[in-house]
Amino acid sequence: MTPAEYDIVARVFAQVCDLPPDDRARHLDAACGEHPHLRRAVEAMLEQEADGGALAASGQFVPGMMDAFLPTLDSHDSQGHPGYAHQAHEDFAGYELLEQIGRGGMGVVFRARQRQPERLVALKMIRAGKFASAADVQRFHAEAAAAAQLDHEGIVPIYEVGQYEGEHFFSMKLIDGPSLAERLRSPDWSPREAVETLYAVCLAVAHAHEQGIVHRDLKPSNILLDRNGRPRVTDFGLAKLLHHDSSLTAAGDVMGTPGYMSPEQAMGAADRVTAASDVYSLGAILYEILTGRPPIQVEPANLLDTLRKIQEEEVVAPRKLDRRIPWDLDTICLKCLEKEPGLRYATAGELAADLARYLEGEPILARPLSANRRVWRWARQQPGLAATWTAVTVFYVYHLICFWILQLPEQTLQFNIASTALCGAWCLGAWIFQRRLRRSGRPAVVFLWATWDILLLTIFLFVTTSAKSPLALLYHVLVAFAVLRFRADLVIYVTGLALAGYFCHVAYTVMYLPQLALDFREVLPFALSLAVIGWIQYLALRRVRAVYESAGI
Amino acid sequence: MDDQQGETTRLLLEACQGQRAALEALLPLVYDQLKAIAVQRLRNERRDHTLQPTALVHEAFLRMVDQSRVQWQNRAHFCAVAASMMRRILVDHARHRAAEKRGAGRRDVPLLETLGLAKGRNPVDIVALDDLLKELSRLNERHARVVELRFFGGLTVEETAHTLDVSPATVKNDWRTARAWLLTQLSDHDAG
Repeated sequence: MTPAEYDIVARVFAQVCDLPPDDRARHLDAACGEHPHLRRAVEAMLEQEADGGALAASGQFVPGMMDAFLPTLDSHDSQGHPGYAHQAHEDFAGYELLEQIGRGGMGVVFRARQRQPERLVALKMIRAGKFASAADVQRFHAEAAAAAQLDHEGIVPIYEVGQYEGEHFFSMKLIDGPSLAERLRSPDWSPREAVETLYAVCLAVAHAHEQGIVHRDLKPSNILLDRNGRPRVTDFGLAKLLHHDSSLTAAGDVMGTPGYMSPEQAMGAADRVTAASDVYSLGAILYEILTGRPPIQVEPANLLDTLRKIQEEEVVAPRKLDRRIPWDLDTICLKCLEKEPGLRYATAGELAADLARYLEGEPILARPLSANRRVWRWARQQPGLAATWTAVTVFYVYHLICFWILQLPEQTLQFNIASTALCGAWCLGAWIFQRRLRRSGRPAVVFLWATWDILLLTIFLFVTTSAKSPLALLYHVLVAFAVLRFRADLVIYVTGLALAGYFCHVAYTVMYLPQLALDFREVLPFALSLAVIGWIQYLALRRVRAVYESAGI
Repeated sequence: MDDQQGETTRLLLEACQGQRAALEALLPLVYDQLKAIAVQRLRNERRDHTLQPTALVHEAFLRMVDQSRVQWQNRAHFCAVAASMMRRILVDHARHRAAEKRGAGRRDVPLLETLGLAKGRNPVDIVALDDLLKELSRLNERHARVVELRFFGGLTVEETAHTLDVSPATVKNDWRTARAWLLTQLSDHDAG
């Protein structure tokens, strides 16, 4: 290939790669009709983009390519910032750097000796040093400013903010102790002690909330314990001033640490982050204190799926993992971890008050989940199963009414047995498929499930008036239902299957039930509406996909 | 020590100005630094921190040079050199592993494995990719540079755009095209 040919190929590729497949062919004919080898080159490239360019938006070649390249969510060095260069025992702006005691986010923290006044401090600098971008510097100063506003024994105080030879830094009180994360690893801690510690953390965060500051990255490693075991909240690197426009976080930026991140943060909805988001993180810490693991299991290899889990999957109740956990703590914890911010405690202060009630042995304000909520939570955990069971129950109740109360003449015993058996098979199938889906998550399960549903409906119609039965309309329902799996191929598959099932019955009715006088004026609208519904679902899905892709997801 | 630091600084500045010889001379020095960082990491660092190769190379650079005597022209040059360096390191690593399989390997533990990187089989043949990138830079210099910066340098679209002084939309387009082209060539390579 010559550079000129490559240029043609690149130009044509850029023009056609976003077109639908049909338009592509026409455009390719026009663009390189007389150069078949260039056309082949473009086509080969388009084949590599079979995923619609979703992967091309990431900096990777193929999925899973060098997983070590994956960014850690809380680490801004994923953007290629240089590492930090300072050595121990270096002089820096009137401080003597002693040793590096922490790094994370975009900063690095040294234990340092200040000369005037002489004391030991923690000195935080931007890890990128002189190469820090303007946005980094702005963010760094926002952190210092947020923390400096706060004056509370539970928050690490800021001493000095400054700049030295082009590098930004601030110094703060040195907390000589482990972080809560390290403390949680040692087993010699009674739950009560742990809850008391969390209570103290809540009071500190409540103070920040009163000043209009949301921390946004509360997690065990950001809570330091001093010599007396008293907790100190630190790392306001992601803090946000409520009621202020924050240019530092664009909507859509996902910030925080996945295990402790609230659903609204996982969504990237910066404007919806409030004090209740910190309450969620505090609840996640409580959850870890109680059960030994964060509420959401983070899969570093699949960040998008982790974010989806945070938004959608209901947390397993702490008491389900450990029966010894007191009911009240279970209740408080689940209230903090509600997906909907309005259902949580509004601020850390309210959470602190309820924890205090628990510690004092008084009744807590949070109410255990009502029976309704429990059912709702269960249904959200397994939507397909819940929907099927509900539908089957409704149908069966209707059926019983027809059979026992109205005693309709066409309700033969044979029909009664068949419908009961099919309802049972339907429920059982849904239960099995939902379990398989939760375990393996393979698309094949979804296809099998859909096949099962249509197969049962088709069998069932044979004991009714076949194609004449109003129950044949359930084909439409199943097609409409398929869209909820967000798979265009499934929608096409189900539509095809439903049409096949329906025409099976049309043939059966015409051949064996001539007395019903099935008319093509009934068949045609029925089949057409089925096809059209499927087609509309398909188009809607394509459109949703296109929106996601243009957003680079 | 100071002499060596001065020498390294000079080499790095030359590399920034695009001199390949300087890049070659720098490589063993970067290796030594990476080894030192690896040893330190394994001793001190908690394991849950994801290592980021580009950040490691950056860290190595920053340790090697006397910062007070260098006025970097800008971050962009620095990132570009680090990306080339990363490419060299990964290609060397892949060649080394191939040689080891044939029984001609050196005895020491491969550096990248010490750092916890490049475990398992890589889905893309880095050596072949390197050759193809050379071919691509003949066909379209900018496309090749975008791939080097984004893939080996780990730069974001915006950072790449800034480094090459083009718009982010151009970078996105270049990357998508170059990636697709490289993948077709790679699959030809596998087949052939």
